[in-house]
Amino acid sequence: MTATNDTLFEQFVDAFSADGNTDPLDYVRRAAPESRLALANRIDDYLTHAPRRPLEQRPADDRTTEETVDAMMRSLAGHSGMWPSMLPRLRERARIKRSELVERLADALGVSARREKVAHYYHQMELGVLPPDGVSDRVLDALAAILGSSRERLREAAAQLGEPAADAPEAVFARQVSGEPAEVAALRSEDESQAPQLDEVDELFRGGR
Amino acid sequence: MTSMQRRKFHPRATDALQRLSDDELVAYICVARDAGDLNAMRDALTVLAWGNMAKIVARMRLRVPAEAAEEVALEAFEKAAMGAFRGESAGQFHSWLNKIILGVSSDWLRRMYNQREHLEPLGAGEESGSRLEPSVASESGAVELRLVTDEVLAQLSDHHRRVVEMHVFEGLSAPEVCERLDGMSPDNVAKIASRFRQRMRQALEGGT
Repeated sequence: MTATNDTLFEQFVDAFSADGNTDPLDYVRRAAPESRLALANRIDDYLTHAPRRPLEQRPADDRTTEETVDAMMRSLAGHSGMWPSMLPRLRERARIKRSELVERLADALGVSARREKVAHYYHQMELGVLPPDGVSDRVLDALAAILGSSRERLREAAAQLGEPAADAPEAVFARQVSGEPAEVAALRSEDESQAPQLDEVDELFRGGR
Repeated sequence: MTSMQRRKFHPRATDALQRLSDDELVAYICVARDAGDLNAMRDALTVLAWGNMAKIVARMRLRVPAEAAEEVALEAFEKAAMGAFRGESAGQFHSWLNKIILGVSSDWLRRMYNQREHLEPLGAGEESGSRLEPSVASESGAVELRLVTDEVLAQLSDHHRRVVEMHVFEGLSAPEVCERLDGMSPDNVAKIASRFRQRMRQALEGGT
């Protein structure tokens, strides 16, 4: 005998309220075929208006929220809009490691010999510290082709939120810098200690459209 | 903005943050950002993210395959939150989030059903121009499509269902699927995926 939609709905609400990880489809599948869509829509409506889960229910090993908040902090405190969250996600979806992406990006831009510098700039894009206005269309077109996106989407995502507080980026990014590759760190110190003399790669990433 | 120019800002305790509405939390985060108070931003973002993510993931499970739900939910939450911080939703975080959930899940479904056909030759009996274009723009369109997908998948053998999940839903190439499943050739993978899409089209047209 098939359970009624009312019963299944109540069972779902009880289970979801308790653990927050209940799959609604498990309940929808138990409804009569002709009433599944109605139950799914009812559950969807409930979820739309349900209150936030209290922090007291958050487990100590919840990495998902921490990673989400980290990426959003980089976006909020940085200069590159949603790139810090969007670029790693697109890369993951395309199943491309950062080193592989850098290699393909450098090849596509015709600067294979300056791969380390491309890595440096791409790292800055993921960290949210590279001003998007300086990044050329060529770079975004090449990146979009690798990641299955479009230049327009990448530009749109980079829309800034207004200037962050002056010392905010350094504090947010301090925890990221320790994880950067050695060659990127070397270029970072080179960048910081030398007078600016832009080469082809600098122009691509900092010279504007 | 220098520290001298920053607005006077009083961080709130977690209990007080939890009593704020989503719109109030967004406004609080913006003020904390202007004040350069990173700890306050992080605390409020955590309340917003943790409090909403489970609901968004569950809503996505009603729209996209389970293995993609969390990723798509994260994308929707980040878009909605960043839009709110830019002032695009102007005190309407909830309805803004709802629109983005529909948009992001629709984008994902279109990509999932059509991507392979852009990358690989069409399968036997599959004509160009027959790409599946799910009608997912409406409030319940994606949910309906998800239920139809569920029914069509249930008609497949375990082995074929796994092929569809890996090739169509997870985006693995045919050779990658063959590396993971014994006794499968790229040609078989393409045929199974093609038949799945044909069945989906028939089911959506009411012809199963």
